[in-house]
Amino acid sequence: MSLPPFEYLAPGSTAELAGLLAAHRERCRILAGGTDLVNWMAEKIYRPDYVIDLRRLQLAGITYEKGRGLTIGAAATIESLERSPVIREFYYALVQAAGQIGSPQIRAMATIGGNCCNASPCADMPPPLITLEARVALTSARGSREVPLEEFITGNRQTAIAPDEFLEYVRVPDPWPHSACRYSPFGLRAAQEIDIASVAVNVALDPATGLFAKARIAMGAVAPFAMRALKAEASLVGNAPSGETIDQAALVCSRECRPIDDLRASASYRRHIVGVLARRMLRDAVAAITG
Amino acid sequence: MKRVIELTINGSAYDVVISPQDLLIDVLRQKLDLTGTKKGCGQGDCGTCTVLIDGRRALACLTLAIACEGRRILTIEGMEKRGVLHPIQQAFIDKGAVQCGYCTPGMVMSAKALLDENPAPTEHEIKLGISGNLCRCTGYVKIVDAVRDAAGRLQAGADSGKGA
Repeated sequence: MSLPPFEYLAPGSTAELAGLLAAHRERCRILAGGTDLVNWMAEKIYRPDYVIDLRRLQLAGITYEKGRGLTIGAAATIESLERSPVIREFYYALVQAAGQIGSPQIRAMATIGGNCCNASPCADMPPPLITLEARVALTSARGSREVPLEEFITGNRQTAIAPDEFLEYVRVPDPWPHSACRYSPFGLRAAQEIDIASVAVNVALDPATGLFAKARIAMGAVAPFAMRALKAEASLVGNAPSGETIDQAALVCSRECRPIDDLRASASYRRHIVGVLARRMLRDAVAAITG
Repeated sequence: MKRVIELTINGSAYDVVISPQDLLIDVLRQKLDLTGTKKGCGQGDCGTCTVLIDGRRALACLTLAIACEGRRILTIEGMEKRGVLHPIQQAFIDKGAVQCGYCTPGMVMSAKALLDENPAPTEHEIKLGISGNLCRCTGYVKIVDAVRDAAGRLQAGADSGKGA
C-alpha cells in the first residue's frame, strides 16, 4: 500500500498555518495523529496536493483554569487526555471515552482535534464533550470563532469547518456545581472495537432539594452524529434521582435514538443497548454526586 | 519531490532520500534494511509495525517518515545491546511466547513501552498493554507470561544495579 504523492508542509506558527490554509484551501489536508488521514489517503479517499503537519506547533497543551474551564489543544493525543489528572478529577467521562479508543498505539497517536473533525458517527469523544457543553475554536487568517461542538458536527463525517479554518482547541466550561459526568461505549470486544452504541450523561443535583437540576445526555453510533436525548433530559429535570425516574429516562433514550441496521448490530438491538447504557450511566453519575 | 532527511534510529543517524508520501515502515524495511519491524495489515489494526518514537508507541504503517525528522525512533533492532538480547526478548524465548514470530517485534515493543512506564503491571494491565497487538498463533497466554517474567527480570536487574 502506498500513498499518492503530495507536498509536505510543517508550519512553525499558527499564523503560518492560517496563511497556508488560506492559500491552498481544499487542496490541502491537515495531519495531526495520522491514524485516519493516512488510511484515507492510502484508500485514495483523499488526494491532497499538500499535507500540512501540526507537529511543529504548540497545540497539544491541556490546561484548566477556574472560570474559563478546560482547554485542550487540537493536537493533544487521546493518551494525554486519558492520563491528565485534571480531566480525571473534573471531567471523568472524557477519561472513560479516551481510554476506550482503538488501542494503546492509536491512543498515543490520535488527537482530540482529529476525533472531532473526522466526525465519525461512532467517535468516542463527541458524546461526552457535547454533554459537557464543549465548544471548538475555529481559527483562520480571518480570525477565530468558538462554536458549540454540537453545532460543529453536522453529519456523518461532516462539519461546519470552512476550508481556510483549522480547529485550534476544544474548550469545556467549568463543571456544573454538584454534577457528575459518565460515558460508556458498548462493543463486542474490549479493544480495537467500533462501538455498537454509546451513551454519555452529565447531570447536576440541586443541593437543597436533591432533585435533578440539569441534565444532558448524548448518544453515539445511533444517528449520523452524536445526538442529544432532549426528551429524556427534560424527563429528568425537577424529578428525584430515583430508580423509577432513571428507568423512565433510559426508556425515553431508547425511543429517541435513530439507529440503523448494519453489520455490527440491528437497530432494535442498538435501541435496547442505549436504554441499558443510559440507565447504568445515570445511576453511576448520581452515585458519584451523592457519594 | 524527493529530499534528504536525517532519521535517528536506535541511536544512530541515517541520511535517507525519501518522498513526502513514504511511510516509516517502508523506509525502515526497504531503504534501511531494518526488516525486524514487520508490515502486517498496513492500516493500524494489527500492531506488528509498532515502534517507539520519542518513547511513545507508534504504528510505523501510519507514520510519514518525513514527520520523524528530529525524533528518536526505537525499533526491535535497537533492543539488543552488544550481542545480548534485551530481557524482554529473552523472556519471550524462554517462555515459549514466539510461534510464527510475525507479531513478536510489535509485541516486544509494546511490552517495552508498558514496562518503561509501569515496571510491575498486573495481568490485566499487561493485557491492556498488548491490546493493540494481534497474535493468531499463541492465544496470548505465553505472551502475557513472558511480559510478566520480563518485568521480574528488569526489576531484579534494577535492584542489583542499585546495590552495585
